[in-house]
Parts: sequence; structure tokens; C-alpha cells
Amino acid sequence: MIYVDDVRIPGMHFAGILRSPYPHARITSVDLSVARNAEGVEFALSGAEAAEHSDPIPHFISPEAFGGKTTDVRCLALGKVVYVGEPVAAVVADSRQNAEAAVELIKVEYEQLPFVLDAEEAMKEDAARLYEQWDDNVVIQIPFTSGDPEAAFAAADYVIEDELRIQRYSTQPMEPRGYVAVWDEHTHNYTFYGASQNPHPLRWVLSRALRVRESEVRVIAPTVGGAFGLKMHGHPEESLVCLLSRLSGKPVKWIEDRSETLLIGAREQMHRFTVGFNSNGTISALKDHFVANVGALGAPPGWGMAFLTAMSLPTGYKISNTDVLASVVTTNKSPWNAARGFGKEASNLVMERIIDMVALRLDMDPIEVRRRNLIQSHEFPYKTAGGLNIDSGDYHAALDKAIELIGLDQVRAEQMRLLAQGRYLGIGFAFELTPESGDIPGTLVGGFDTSTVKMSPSGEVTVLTGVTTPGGGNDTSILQIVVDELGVEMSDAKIFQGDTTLSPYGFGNYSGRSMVTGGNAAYLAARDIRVKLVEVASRMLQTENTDIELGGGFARSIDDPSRSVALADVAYTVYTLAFATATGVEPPLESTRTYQPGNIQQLPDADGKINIYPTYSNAVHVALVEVDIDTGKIDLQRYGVVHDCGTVINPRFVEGQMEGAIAMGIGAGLMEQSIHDPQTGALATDGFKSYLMPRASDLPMIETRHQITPSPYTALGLKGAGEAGIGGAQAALSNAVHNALAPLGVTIRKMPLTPGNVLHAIKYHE
Amino acid sequence: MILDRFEYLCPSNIDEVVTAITTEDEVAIISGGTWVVPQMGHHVRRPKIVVDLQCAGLSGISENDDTITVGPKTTYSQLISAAHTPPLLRTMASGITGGVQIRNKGTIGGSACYANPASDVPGAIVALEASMVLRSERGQRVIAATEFFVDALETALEPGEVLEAILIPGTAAKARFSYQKFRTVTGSFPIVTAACLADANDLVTRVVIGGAAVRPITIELEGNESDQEVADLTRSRIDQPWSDVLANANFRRHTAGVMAQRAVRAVRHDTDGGER
Repeated sequence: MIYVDDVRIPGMHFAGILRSPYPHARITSVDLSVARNAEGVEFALSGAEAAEHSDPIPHFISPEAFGGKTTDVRCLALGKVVYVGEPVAAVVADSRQNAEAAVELIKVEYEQLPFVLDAEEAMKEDAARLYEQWDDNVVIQIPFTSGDPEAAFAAADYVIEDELRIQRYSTQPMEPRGYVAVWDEHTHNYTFYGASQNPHPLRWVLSRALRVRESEVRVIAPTVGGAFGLKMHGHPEESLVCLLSRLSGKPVKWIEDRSETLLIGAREQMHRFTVGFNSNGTISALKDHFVANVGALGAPPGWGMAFLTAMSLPTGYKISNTDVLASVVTTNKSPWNAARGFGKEASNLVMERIIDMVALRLDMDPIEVRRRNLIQSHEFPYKTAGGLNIDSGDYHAALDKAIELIGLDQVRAEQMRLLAQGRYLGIGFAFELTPESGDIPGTLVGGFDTSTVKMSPSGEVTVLTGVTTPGGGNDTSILQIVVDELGVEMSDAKIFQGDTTLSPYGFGNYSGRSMVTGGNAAYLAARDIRVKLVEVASRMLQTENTDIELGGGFARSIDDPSRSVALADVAYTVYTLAFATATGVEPPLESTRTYQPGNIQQLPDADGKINIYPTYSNAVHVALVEVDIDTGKIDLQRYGVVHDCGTVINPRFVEGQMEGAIAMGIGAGLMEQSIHDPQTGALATDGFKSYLMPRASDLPMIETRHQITPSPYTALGLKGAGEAGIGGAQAALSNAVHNALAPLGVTIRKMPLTPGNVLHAIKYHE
Repeated sequence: MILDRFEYLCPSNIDEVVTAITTEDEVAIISGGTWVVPQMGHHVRRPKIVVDLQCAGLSGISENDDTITVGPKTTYSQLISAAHTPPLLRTMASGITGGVQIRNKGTIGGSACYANPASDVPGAIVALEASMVLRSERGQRVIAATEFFVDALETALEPGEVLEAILIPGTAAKARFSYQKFRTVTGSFPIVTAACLADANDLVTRVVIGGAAVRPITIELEGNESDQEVADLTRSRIDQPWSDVLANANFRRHTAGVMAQRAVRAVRHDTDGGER
């Protein structure tokens, strides 16, 4: 396995990047003269010089296309900086050490400007303005309304108003970002090695930013050590490293430092919601006007997460009157990128807190409130208020399984027993809906993908696919599908991903799409080859083609299993006796197929709504916690989940994804937060001793159950897997903590549930 | 990545250490290196000379004349396994965050000299009434651990001076004790530590709080305070609170009271973490 930092090119040099120390400042001068003459330095570049040779980086999802505002994002700041950490100038040197040393010799003069870090502050009229050409700091406001919420609130027996602040946090793959760019002057061609989730769309972005033809860029994604959305593109360093290679004439490598990975933000949202419901627990109306603090507007797809938070409400609940408004706001924090869950985790967290609040007000079992409001299994496909068309599921059965998994009666009895001793045990449930395999119209966030399957004359199978793997195992799972279909051994099959020259055009990995699109496409392509193999094998075995089965590397007569032929011999026959035994079977044994799942609706319906997701995986989470009310510390004792992603290809990978996402959600729920110093605007949590992530000893064993309700809209019944877990875990934890603290009447409105936040809520009831 | 070239010295005894650090240039002394090396990698510390104690024979624990001598280069792992380790230090060392790598590299003396308020060692050695043996070209001086910790990240060490040994009275080392540590999660530095030892008459007369203030705080007790009085008294004694992104001053102050209470209770009732 070759990771990007293992890539070594003869003559390779190293980039050093000078970053802004200020959250908002005008750049008045950049002096590179000392740096240029420093030891080992080959080249140095300012933002103004970069702008002469490059164009703005195209937005992964342009807010303008959805009626919002946009701004040019460049590989080096031009004119002014809008966040601490923004790249300002760069050097190329013969070693990383010399590059970093030379960066310190770059002299930049700044004129500091007022800055704003809080989104609600940024929405005020007199707030510091990031982009002078805008008339405020709001990127876009996106409403989703249905029914008549005002009338429904008026008619409701009960109305609750409350708020929930979700912290800024991040994804931190074990491998940070890294890029190696090689410009070849003779062929006028870039080769770009990058820890990238989306090599083909990145090629388009690089060609636009670098003023070359798309065919003049080859993107190769080597093995990637975790991505979680952070390695979707639009980062300034991608085109910067290319430009540095071209202008310096050297191959250039840049490997990110952890403090730089931590700059990339996500998820910060302030929700203010109102819910109307009746005394029987039926929720009739939901209003949620929330503000997302996306930091400075970057070119990666981060801001789109707020869009999908809004679209995904009210998740799997039948609430027919909704008034949801997302306000996407820029501030002088570093930009967002995508983060596993892609905004949908926030919808789940908010909805699940609302359900428990309704239950508390009615003194009803929160499970019962869920049962009364969740879509029932006979109601699918179900069109939600946000326009989503949910494919299938059995949410009530999943709830029952979760109750059984945790042994609800026993844990509730234990809770009562401990409460009598002054100990606070809590049980929290959360339903989670994860729309997966999305397609955003007008962007290179595509809902389809393509795979090629080839069998050589020796019977060896090669799969090429446009989906890539961040390390989650979709390569193996796609091979499993192909191997099953063709009846060959796993050892006779290989898969290649992530090279724009080798692979069919594809969108890479995001949105739990790899199996739904690339997997189903590989299935279709393998089926084409299977038909040929069966036909030729039947001729070789002198039987009907309906009498052939494939398996274990052989084609066999079903009627008389003693009669068989090796698939290698069948393949050899296809290639060598194309005008005899294999007549009429079109060689070669190759097929390229694209899979477009059903249930994507790009054109707006009568209500102006689109459906960007074909599949909807779902889960029920349950957490058991004990809260130390003297310190606010939470002891997570048990964690269970019932997960439904339709047909499961490889349970081990699905469980691995589920456990990983839950660990991430537990981190988000209990500890992870990116904190900016209000005085300097700099990120204070710039390492793993200040940005705390869960360690093995913070996590209980995760008890997993599968439930399978195949999607009617995908060939194999697959739904996306991989994203579900974040919001469910946050919500189950929060509900468990609230359940534990119910005797004290505590509401915690600030995530994460750190001892400080929990204790504050216990002591001050705010 | 460490940017600057520096001179690396690995002296083989304490006299050579003293010679090596007696210079006008900026010196960094590495005991385990778990602080200095990452700081150099992040460019926040840029010494001209790095003096590594690993060959200077300053590790290990010995006992004589009712005094336990702990070498500053003694790692947490050594504290856990050595025969003469005071039990409180053994308990403290077993709870060091960062896993086996840190326990194998990090040292008691390094942590004391770094004097990070959010760490275990300062509070623990103050609780043990340790004395610090400091060496320089001017000779040796011995000061109480309470005097050694001056402020956050600041000790009584003067330029050209090095910690040569930590002396712990045998009576303290053998006392019944409780060590209560609060951290938010496994990866967190200690937020508050409370170390409580019974005195010669097996009474609880003091508890030492680490993490809540810029330096360890010793709270003297009459011995008959209620739980609430212990907490209140503890909180009232934190005059220079410590605060960082993991926990603010209010939280640390509050939790100091809780941890003091728990430590005192454990020693009094010989339960819940009370050890000998």
C-alpha cells in the first residue's frame, strides 16, 4: 500500500506555506527576497504572483447556483485574509526543513481589520464584513416549508420552544491531507498524487484553476488513510502545489501538519425550534430556524451541509406542518469542509432531542412518542416535508430490537435502584435517518457511477471503478459482488480505483454511495460477462445454458455436477475460438456499466422540491450512561445500535463503518470541539491534547444488530452505509444524560456534553 | 519538524550536566523529551543546546535513613515497577495519560521542571512533602517542593541549575493516602488532582490540590471538618486559578472541592481509593 507521503519522485522538492496570523487583515506588502535566498530554496510565490498564473478555485457546490452569494477562493490570499491559517505565500525548497525555515523569512505587512467569530454576531448590521462586495455576511438562506405551520401551532395542545447549540468540530483522519504535483513541461501535463476522495471531479477543478485542459491533468489517489469528507476537494493547497511545481520546474510535495488538519471546520449550528403537539403525543408542527457558522467561505463542499440539515428535517417523523429555515453565515473562522454525516447528523440530533422533550412534557415514554410519530412500514415510499422520498424501512421493528438489545426493563429497574442511592443512571434512545448516495443537480456531486469488469484469457478478473475508497473496504466489497457473480476465486480478482487515466469517469466516495453506485455498476458489468461465460461453458459442456452454474473457479452442469470446466478454460476459449466454439459471443470479456439508482428527482416537483437521495438507511441507537452530578462527568456504560442499510454485502465492513461512525458521534457528543481564541481569532484547539478525541478506553463495546429492509430502488437492494452513526450517537447520549438528570430538571442546550457544560446546566439550570 | 540546528550533548554524570548547561546560550534539558521535543517540532522552543540526561545516571529510586531518593530521570514505568516507589507515586504513575509510550519516556523530574499546572507530578510530590535537590556550578541547594513550584510553567530553578534528586521522607511515603484525579476523558490532561495523606497520628490534616491553580495548593485541615467544609475550604484557597481550553477556572475550582472531599473521605474511611 502506497500512501501519498510514500510517493517519491526524482528531484522532488517540498512546499512550505506561510499562513495568516490574523483573522481579518489587508495584505499591504509581501517581501519574498530573503526567503528566496535562503538555504535550499528554489522558488517562492506571493498571492499576487499566483493570481497571474491561476484562476479562482471552482466551488464544489456553488452557493450562487442555489440563489446565494459567492466569492473567489484562491490558492493564495489576494489582497486580504479572512481567517487565521489562510495561505498567504509559499516556498519550494529541497527539504521540508528548509521549506519551513524559509517560510519564517517571508515578510508580510498586514493592516488588521475588525473580525467576527460568532454567526449571530455576524448577522448584525454593524458586524465586520468579510466580503466587501456583499451587503451582509449571509451566504444564503434556505427555507423548507410544508403545510400550514402557523395554524398547526395554534391548534396544538402543547407548544415547546427551545434551543440547541451544536459546537464546531471536525473529522480527523489518521492520515492528514497531502499532495505531490509533477508538472511535465514536455508533455504539458500535470500528474497530481493526492489523498483525495474524488479524483475525477478534482481533475476538472484543477484544470479550471490552473488554466489547462482537463486532459492535461492526471489525478492519482493512492491509498487513503481515512477521509470522512475532509479529503473532498477545493482546498487551496491542491492547486497551489500544482502551481508551485509548474513555476519552480520541480516535483513538489506538501504533507499537512495536524495543526493544519484541525483548522478545517464543520458542523457549527445554532438551532432555535418550536414544536407543536397533542396530548396523545402526535407532533403536528415543527419550526426550526437555525444559523450555521461556516467560517470563511471556502471552495470545498462544506457549506452545503447546512442545506442538507434543513432538507433532512423532520427525518423519519410524520410532521406535516414544517417551517425550516437555514441561514448560512460566514465568519472569520477557517472554512468548513464536508464531514461524515454531511449535515444530516444535525437534523437527527435536533429531532431526537425534540422527541424526548415532547415525551418529558407529556410524561410519556419517549419510545412511545417515537412509535406514534415515525413513518410506519406500510407507508413507504414516503415523501417528507423536505421533499425527500424515503424508500423503505421498518422503524418500529428496529425500535423493538433496540429495546430488546439493551434489556430495557432491567436497566430501568437498575436505574430506579441506583437513584435511591443518589446515583444517576440514564437510558437514551435515538432514531436516525441517513439519506445516502446523494446527487446535487448542477454539481459534480453525481448520483451515479461506473465500473468496468474485465476477464483476461487466463480467467483473471480486473475491476476498475469510478468510486474510490477512503479505507473503509468498499474495494473488497465491490470485488465480492463481482467474484460472486462470476464464480471466480477472490484471489483471481483485483480492483483499481482512484486514477483518472485508468478508471472510468466517476465521482469517488461520499454520501455512502460506493456500493450503491460503484457496487451495483460492477454487478451489472459482471452480469454481462457472466452471460458470456455461461453461454460458452454450456457449449463446452454440451448442455443448455440454463444448466450452468458458476462457482469456485469452475462452470458446472447443474444436472450433473461431475461435468465441469475451469473458468480459465472458458475465458481462453472466448478469446481463442471466437469464430468456432464462441461464435456469436462478443469478445472481449469486458463490460463497462453505469448504475443510476432509481428515486433521484433532479427537476423540482409542484412544490418546488427535489429529491437528491435515492436510499435512506436508518438506525435506532440506545445509550446507557451514569452521570456524576458533582463533576458533570458522563460514564458511557453501554451502547447498542440496530442498523438498516438494506442488503448487506459484507457485515464486517458495515459493522466497522457503524462502529467508527458511532465512535465519532460519541466524540462529538462528549468531547470534540474546535475553540477559537476570542481575542486573536486563532484556533486554540490545534493538537490532540486540546482537541480531545475518544480513545478506546472512553468507549464501551458497541453492540450491533442488523435489520434488513432492501431498497426497492437499487439493483441489489443496497442502501448507503458509512455515514449513519454520528447524529444518532450524539442524540442517544444527550437523551441518556437528560434521562439521568430528569429528577433534577436539567436541560443542556450546549453541545458537547463536557463535564463543564453538564455541570453548568445542573448548577444554574440554563 | 525541528527547524534549527542545535548542539546535542549527552553528559555522563551530574558534573558534566552542570558544565553543559552553564552557558549564555538557550539550553533545553531533555529528561524523557515528551515536552521539549514536540515543542521543538512546533517551533515554539528553539534551543541552541540540547542536554540529554539519559546517560547521566539520574534515574532510579533508593531508600536509606528513612528517606527515599528519586532520580529526576526516573520514568513513570520505573515508578510503577521499582521496589521502593512511594505508593502514592505508583498510583499517580499508573494513571498517566498517553499510554505506554509516554509512561516509558516521561519522567518525574521532567514533569516537575516543566511545572505544567495540568499535570500529576507537582501536586503529588508536594503532598509527599518532597525536597528538591538542585545543582549548579555554585554547588547544591535543597528546597521544599512547595517552594520549587513558583508559577505556571515556572520553577525555582535558576539558569545553570538542574534538578539532581527528589527526596521524600519515609514517613510520608508510607502514610495511608488517597489520590483522586479528575480528567474529562482518557486523552485529557489532569484537570484537578487531590492527594491526601494521613499524618503520623493517622489523622487527615492536609490535602494537596493540583491542576486548579497555577501551582499546587496545600489545604491544612483540623481533621474534624465536614465534607462540605473540606470542599468550601479547598475552593476558597484557590487564589490564582488555572484555566485552559479543557476546563475553565470556575470548573476547576468547583471540581477541586469535589476531589478534595473524595480524597479526604477515602483516607478517613479507608475506602474508595484509600490506599497504603
